[in-house]
Amino acid sequence: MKQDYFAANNIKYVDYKDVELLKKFLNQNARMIARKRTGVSAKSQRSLSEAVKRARFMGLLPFVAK
Amino acid sequence: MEPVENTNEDAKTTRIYEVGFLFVPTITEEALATDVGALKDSIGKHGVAFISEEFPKAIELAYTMDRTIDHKRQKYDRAYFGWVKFEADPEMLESIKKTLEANDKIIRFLIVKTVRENTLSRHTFSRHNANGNTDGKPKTVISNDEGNTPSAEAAPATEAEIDKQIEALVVE
Repeated sequence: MKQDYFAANNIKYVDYKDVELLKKFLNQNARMIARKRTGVSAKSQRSLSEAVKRARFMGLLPFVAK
Repeated sequence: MEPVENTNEDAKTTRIYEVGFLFVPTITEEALATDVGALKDSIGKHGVAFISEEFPKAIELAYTMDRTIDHKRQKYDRAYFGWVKFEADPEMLESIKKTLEANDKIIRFLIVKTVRENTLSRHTFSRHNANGNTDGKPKTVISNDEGNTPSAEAAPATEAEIDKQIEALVVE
């Protein structure tokens, strides 16, 4: 059964500074993992993607990784 | 039809914002406090109410950034990353932005709308998936307090545990 991690942990606001959390939803190339694989809801995935983009802009996460 | 006058002055809308910033790595650790103070003063001039902050920490940037200072392009691989959260009138935001843009010690900054509560989650993971519970109802979910506030006494999960649990979540 797929479960939305953010709903399960009562996370209402995905913070871009929470790099360790965001990294769990990125693959080896630093690309986001599809929600089909992670089970994240569409709403949470949108928040997550916003947070990832903010973290990338601030140099906390890479845009691409080898 | 008469225009409706808004007489409620107290209902001035304020919002919670957060400014994340990257200070140039050339600042010494001792001078950092002064620069943070100056930055807060410059933001504070716009009539904001500070809620919380994190003192800048030296970080390795994920990629090389450049910023033109005095007509010279400077490249940075390291920076001091910090943030301040405050309550402000949305109309003041443009002037806050201009103040930050004029600061030569800032490589980059980011203004975001946020919430008053602490948004940094402690990495608590639900275990029901790992136990093979497929009824869809989380039974032993280790959840945070309302608004992601981490509890002080919650023991931090180890890296290995977190990896294991996220793997369980990722597996279809």
